[in-house]
Amino acid sequence: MTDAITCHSLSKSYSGVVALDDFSLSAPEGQVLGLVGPSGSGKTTALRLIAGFERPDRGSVDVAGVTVVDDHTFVPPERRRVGMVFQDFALFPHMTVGGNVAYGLPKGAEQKRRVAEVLEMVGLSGMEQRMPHELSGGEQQRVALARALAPSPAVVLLDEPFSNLDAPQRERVRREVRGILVEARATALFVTHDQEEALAVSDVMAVMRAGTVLQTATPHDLYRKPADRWVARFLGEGEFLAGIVAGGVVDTELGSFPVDTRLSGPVEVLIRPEHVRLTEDEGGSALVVEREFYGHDQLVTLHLDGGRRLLARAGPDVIFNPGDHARYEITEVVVFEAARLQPPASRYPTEPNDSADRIR
Amino acid sequence: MTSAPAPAPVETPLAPPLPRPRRPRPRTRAPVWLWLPVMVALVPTLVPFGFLIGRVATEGTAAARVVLSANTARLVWNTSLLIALVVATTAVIGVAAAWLTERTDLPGRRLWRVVVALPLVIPSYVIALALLSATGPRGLMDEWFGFTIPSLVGLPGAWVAITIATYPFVYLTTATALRRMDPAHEEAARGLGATQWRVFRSIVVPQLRPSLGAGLLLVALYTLSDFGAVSLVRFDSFTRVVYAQYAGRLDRTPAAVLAVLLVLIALVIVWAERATRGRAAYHWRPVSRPSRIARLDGGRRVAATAGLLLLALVSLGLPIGALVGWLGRGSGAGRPFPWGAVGGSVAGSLLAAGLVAVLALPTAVLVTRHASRATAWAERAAYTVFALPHITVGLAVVFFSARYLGGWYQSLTVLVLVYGSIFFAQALGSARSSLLQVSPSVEEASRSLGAGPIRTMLRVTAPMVRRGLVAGSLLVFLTTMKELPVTLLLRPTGFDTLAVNIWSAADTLLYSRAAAPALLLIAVSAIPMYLLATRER
Repeated sequence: MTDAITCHSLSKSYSGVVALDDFSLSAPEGQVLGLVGPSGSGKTTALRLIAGFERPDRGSVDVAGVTVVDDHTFVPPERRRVGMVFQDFALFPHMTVGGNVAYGLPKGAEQKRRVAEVLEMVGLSGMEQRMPHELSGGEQQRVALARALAPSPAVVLLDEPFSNLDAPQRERVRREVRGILVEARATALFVTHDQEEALAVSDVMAVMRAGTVLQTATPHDLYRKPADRWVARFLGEGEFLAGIVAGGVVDTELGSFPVDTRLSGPVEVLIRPEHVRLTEDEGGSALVVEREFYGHDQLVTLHLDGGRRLLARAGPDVIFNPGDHARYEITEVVVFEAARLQPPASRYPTEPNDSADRIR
Repeated sequence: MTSAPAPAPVETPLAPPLPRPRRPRPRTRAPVWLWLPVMVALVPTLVPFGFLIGRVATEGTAAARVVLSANTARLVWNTSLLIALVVATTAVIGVAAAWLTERTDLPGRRLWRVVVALPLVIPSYVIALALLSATGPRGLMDEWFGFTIPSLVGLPGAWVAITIATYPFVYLTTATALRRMDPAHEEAARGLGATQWRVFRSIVVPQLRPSLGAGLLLVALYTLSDFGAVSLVRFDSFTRVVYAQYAGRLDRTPAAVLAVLLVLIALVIVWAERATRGRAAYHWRPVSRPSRIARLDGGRRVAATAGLLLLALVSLGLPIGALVGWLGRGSGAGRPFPWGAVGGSVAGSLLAAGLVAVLALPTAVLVTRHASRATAWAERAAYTVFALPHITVGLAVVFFSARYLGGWYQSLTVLVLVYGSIFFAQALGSARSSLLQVSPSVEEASRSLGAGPIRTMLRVTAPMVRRGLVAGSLLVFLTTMKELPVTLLLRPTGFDTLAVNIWSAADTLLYSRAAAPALLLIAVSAIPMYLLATRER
């Protein structure tokens, strides 16, 4: 399998503020790659460097095996074969839907056919004569996608593509867009600060922080085997404990659990709320101190005997109220290297909604 | 005794929020060719102006003699006095008219808004001409109504004519500010027990200051550089004397020195306006509610209507009435219609408006999409050129082109380039503010769909900023129509315009000959004015 895009050691700073620092990434052909990180982590900068709207300070980008930028080369955006879907959709307001989609296509008989073809693909057949402002947000989104896909680019970049849509629309459009990208067999690189969105849409996911990629893997692997505490924390809630691995088993203050890891010796252990099974039991050792009910499930904060806090996710059927006692059972744990600390944050601008993004 | 537990450290709601790290502005360096249009716009005035300064600097003692002479002191005094009188009068008229039409229940407010702004289409020299022809013994007033008003020559004439021509600047900026003012501030003050008068004094006026300052700055600069009106009423202000020195003497050093001195005064005015600006920051926010409308009771309503009626009579009725009165009389009777002058005016103004539109689009892209320290300087230079007195620009170009341009001296090309240059800022300002409302991602979308920078500019940027570009061009058309000193100094032999026609007839006191071109000029200028006013809503 070849790579549609390869970024090698990209660096970029704006008047002394580092936006990208040794950023490397490969997008495998025909897959949807999600680039996720808190705001200010450099995701959008990476996208703009790939599209050619800005020049990197150092590093190179290859698109479909052709170097489009390095120390000696700079291919302008119009000759990169990179399609882009913008956060604000950026439809040309003075052109019809058909005019927008045809914009990137050579003139001729083929043009009309291709416009109809991509509009059908995004489910907007026959909308050629409409003006962008007459469409709903979701429809505008699909026109923007159709316009980017029409010239058959080597890769489509999507910058926070769903953030401009209302919450109820967002999930539906997300599914539609993923369906369209898969049907078009397009290689897509999309950027988001929403880890749930990234987990749901990506084939492969790259987690970014402070201008650099921390880990790249499938959403499933990333969730189950985060490379470090920061990635683990970014992708979901949980409680951290110290542990010691020996012979495929990790020992912690909450018990011993089998683990599948190459690590041994002291490690850090993460217990995710969905791996804590709760049962009603008046004589249980866990005290419920807080509960948030979401409808499809509930997040319960427990105080254990030893004073430790634990989060548990339970189904919606049995309600746990503060003051109740419950029995808990840990079904699975995540381990990673204890020595690996977070990169020192002081080197980079702080990320304002870091915590807000992380804890959902 | 119980000791209270130490309060947990909480964030006080009064503490200012932590500064958010500013998102680095993604700006790319502009390609070199994008600098070309702004160069074309600025070079025709900046290079000759630099040459003029250089020339004055090398004159040394001769220049110093001119600067230090008693005559120069008198000129500075005359000009300053005129500016002070005009600024004070326009401030009162402009603010009062704006308040009446925006904040009271005066009958016919909508119509008044148009009428009060209308003198903008009448050049100051046409107003001066009408005033002169109507006053004095054997003036039109004497003839029609049998009473003689003292002839409006000298300072009173210049004062009245320029006040009429410029109070709309103050009116328009103040009315806009009144319309955009957030009524919440005034309501809060009323709620705290302030009387209506105190609210006006302590809340409205301070918030008006930035716009009022901007309007009065325009008035002061206009008064300083006005040439036509002061010449016709024979008031010795700077511009009249500069022109007289240039036209009447072989030694052109005094003209050059005074022209540079004129620019220095303009700089002092700009600086003074900056220095008196308050320190408070005023932010326009979109206002959802209209402001409170003051009720005018019977007596005040009559007084207000009478005041505006008088203003309209003096500023519109008198000039237009006098011009119509002179039509077809005396030596003007039977003269051929000045078609050549109409053609010259319209052609020159159209060329200037078109040139400026072509230059303003790429320059707006340069200063918004590739903003840097250099582009900020380019913008500043454009506004400086706009503020330069036209007589100075005209003289500088005459000196420069006579020396270096040979055959291009007094050619239509040079004239149009200079028009474009001095009025460039008007079009740039309006193109820039339209472009700022367009997200740069639209242009980036075009780029990544395979369109190069020029195709993107023509097919995406231009249609989206069309309104601003057209408005700017209309404004340039209007101001070029009225322009006098540069046209007088630089027009090619045989190139006739309405402004030149009016000036030469009026300068020799042949009012009847000036009437037809003056009315035509007003009529043609009213077209872009009408388009601008109707597009606004």
